[in-house]
Amino acid sequence: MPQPVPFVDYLVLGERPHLVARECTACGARFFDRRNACASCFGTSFTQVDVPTEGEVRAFTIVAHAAPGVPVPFVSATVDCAGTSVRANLINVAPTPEAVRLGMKVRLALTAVGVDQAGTEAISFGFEPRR
Amino acid sequence: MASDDVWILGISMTRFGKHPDSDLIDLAAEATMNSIADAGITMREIGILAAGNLRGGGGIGQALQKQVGQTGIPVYNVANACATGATAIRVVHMALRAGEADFGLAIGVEKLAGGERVGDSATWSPQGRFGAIGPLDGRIGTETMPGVFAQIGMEYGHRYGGTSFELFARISEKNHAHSTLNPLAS
Repeated sequence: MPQPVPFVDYLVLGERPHLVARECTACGARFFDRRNACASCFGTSFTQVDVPTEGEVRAFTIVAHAAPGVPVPFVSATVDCAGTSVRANLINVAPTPEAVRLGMKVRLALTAVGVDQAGTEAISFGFEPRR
Repeated sequence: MASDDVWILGISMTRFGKHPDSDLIDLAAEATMNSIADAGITMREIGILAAGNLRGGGGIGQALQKQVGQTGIPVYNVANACATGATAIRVVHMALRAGEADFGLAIGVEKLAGGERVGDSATWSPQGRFGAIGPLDGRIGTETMPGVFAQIGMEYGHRYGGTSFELFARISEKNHAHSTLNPLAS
């Protein structure tokens, strides 16, 4: 059985699943994509940092219409993890205005994407309500 | 003789809709020919063309010229998200102000119906700047513009307070009211 793979390279699986960001060594701005330079200060030196797994919902939208192939409804959100903005789906919560609110405390959670032809499972992440 | 004033001599617009039987160039040609007729000139007088399109794959200006008049004039294809059509107007405006031409044509055209998220590959393989093994849309948030802007608006309200959802609803109401005045609205 092959090891599961993360859906994106900034998701670290294992005992303590978490996200990692590329942090600008000059100004501290954090990014999740491969960088050519810092968008804030133009610096070119980055270090890898762990992102806290708990945060609060800073913005969300319940997506009811999407391109064919995208399951709807789902909740898209920006989560503030102690100052780091993370784009993610909210999961394990009803996709309704009653169940999701601004400022809601959430934590990182894993979700299965599927298994490819080689039998490798892919794991993605979302954020779920903290109870 | 270049003047500081630039005049809009003719204008046209196609009807909003999915237009399954018309391609991008059909829509662009209809708007082009009707606006040129509205201006009372022909493609012969046009000295510069700017063609705005985001999702058609490029070269719309050249493809349009092949259909409505291939006169050898400079063409600028522009793509700038929601501001694509406005950018085409700016390119023509600046060219006229610079004295490069006496008449210019700015066109903006788009077809959005019929898109879908690409499927996953047969075996997971990290691709792109996020090292993702599949499309992100719907899995790591949304990539559609209404969803992205909904979140930007909500974040603005969250950060600054006082921006009510009532205000967003009133903007939407105002815009929809305007559309009822447009005979070309769908």
